[in-house]
Amino acid sequence: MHMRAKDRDVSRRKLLIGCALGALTPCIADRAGLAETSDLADFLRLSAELTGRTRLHVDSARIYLQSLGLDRGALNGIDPLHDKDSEGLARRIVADWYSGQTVDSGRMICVDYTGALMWEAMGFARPGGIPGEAASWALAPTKE
Amino acid sequence: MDIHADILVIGSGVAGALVASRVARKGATVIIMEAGPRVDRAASVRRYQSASAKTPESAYEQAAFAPHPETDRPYAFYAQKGPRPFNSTYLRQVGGTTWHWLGSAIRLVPDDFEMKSRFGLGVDWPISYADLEPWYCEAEQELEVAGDNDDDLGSPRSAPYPFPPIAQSFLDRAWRNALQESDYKVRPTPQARLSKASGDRPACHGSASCIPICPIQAKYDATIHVARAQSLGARLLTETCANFIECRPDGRVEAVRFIRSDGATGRVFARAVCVAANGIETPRLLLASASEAFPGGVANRSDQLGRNLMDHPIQLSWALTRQPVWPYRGPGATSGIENYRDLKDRGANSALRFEFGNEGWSWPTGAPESTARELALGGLRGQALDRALREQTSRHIRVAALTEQLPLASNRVTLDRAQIEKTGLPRPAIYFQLDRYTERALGNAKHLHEDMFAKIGVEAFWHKDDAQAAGHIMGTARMGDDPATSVVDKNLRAHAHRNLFLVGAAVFPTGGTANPTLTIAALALRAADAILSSLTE
Repeated sequence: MHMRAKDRDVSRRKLLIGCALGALTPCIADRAGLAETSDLADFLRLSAELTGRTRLHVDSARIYLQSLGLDRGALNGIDPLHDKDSEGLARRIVADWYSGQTVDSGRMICVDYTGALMWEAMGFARPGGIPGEAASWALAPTKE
Repeated sequence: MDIHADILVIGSGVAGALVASRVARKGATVIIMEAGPRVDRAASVRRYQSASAKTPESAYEQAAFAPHPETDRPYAFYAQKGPRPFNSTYLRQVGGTTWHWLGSAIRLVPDDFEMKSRFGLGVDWPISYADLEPWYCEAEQELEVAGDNDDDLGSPRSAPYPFPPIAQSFLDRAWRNALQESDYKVRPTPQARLSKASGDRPACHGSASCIPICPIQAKYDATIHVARAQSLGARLLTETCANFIECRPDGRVEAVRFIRSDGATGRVFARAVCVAANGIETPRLLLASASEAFPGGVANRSDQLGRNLMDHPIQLSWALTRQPVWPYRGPGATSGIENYRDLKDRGANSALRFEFGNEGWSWPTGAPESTARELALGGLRGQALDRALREQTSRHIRVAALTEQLPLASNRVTLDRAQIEKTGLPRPAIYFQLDRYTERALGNAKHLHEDMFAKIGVEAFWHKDDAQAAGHIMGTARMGDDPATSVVDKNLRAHAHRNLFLVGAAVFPTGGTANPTLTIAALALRAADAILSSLTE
């Protein structure tokens, strides 16, 4: 039963990543665009593996990938779950997705504040600037 | 372009907006002149959310015409001339700095008005707490302050709060329970945010972004009174910066010159002029208006204009509690400790106001983003990361102690004539330092914070080594009875300039430890009557 549930998760993940990759098709207009799209697809697959999340924004992925400053094709074949050489890279990718920030030219920039994975992980707070329920802050969160 | 009016109000923050609204209601023709633009609230929320550093200014566009200082770039706007950078900031836009104020609406305590006679420090105000008390009540009505009528915060009241209190946070109650047997009395903070809907404004929904912006305008901002003044006939000139006050030899203001962002220039001829441009911009304009008759600037025969710059230098401390307190929710702060604001040994030790933040470690460390990065870069991922993130961020607390800074003549705003803004105004030059009284207060606050942390139970705590800016810019056009030692009289009329009034925290002779906005509002409402009376002189 457990295995079947896991299989279903994997299938769903493939489907969602497939949808994300579908959004990339306009980029595949020339050779350079194809290589770029391939890198982005590799990055999205890697990100999904590392974060366990499948709903990852392509626009954010593009910025996170660019900030890494990698050579073309560098992500091809990386197995972040087993490859110790890529551990630093893996940590950085997770940090970016969770914080919604990345380091660009030595400077921290915000990429996706409201979509940062930390909010879902915390479970009890919303991003600033989004109204909640009046006086709800007086109580412990319902999802303790 | 010449414009004529009964009253010209320069600045559209809380002081200027209240004056404009009040005098327009009495039938005066009013011009409100604002150097900055109107603000689009929704766009500003998006700008804040996109900003990497969620500073007070992060929601607002920097204008080339009338720029504002920025917390993370202390040398970009101010010409810093002192041993330490002055880092309190403000906004130049319609509604002024109330866009990013916290919303705490606290009165001074009676002793704050008598620092010299009671404690031998600073100066006395030319008015007492009793003189201002009815105006505090009016200010609370105008700002629709929510507060607890059963709670004595040390400032006697003659009228109830207009709105019931904002709910204290879960975190506040954890503090209150931990400290209830001690001398630290945790009290709900009176706030100018709606505890129930009023007009077309909704009640606070805990958007957790009071600084820099309330997305639904549940928190008061001065655009409310700007709009009210306009509905009563006042004319608002945006992106229009006053850059010179012309005075007759007898001191009366003849006209105020202005420039617009499109380069157009003109003059406003008004029977009374009210400068409401904050503790930096007010002296900046007056100093820049030096003439043969007034070589030190307008309203500066005492040489006090620009001097006595004060803030509430803050000791910021933060800790990791043992039990979850669920921060990062609700208004920025809903409770504080007020009984240390009225100490009896203020001659030796500064009063302190302790403010508990609901926003976790966002101020000291940039959390929760910084926590997420730290845990992820440390190698956690998957469920372990999610668990750790929730488990840690749910225990983030911070406390800020506002200290009293005494007026020092050497702490001052002057002009850097080497840097001229597009408005024609020289950049403000600031000399700022902390004296031993304030340094001692910061040290005392550290010890008291550690005592509080011990009582609530923490795994670890940290202190900022340096004082943090409060954004409370006070003292640079002090009020007093003696024209030789002050800039304005007790009605906020400039000595030697019968038709010139200055409103805002610049007129505070001393600063106490209360967030200044409610006192600014009370003084402005009081001055509005004097401004109207001046029209019949």
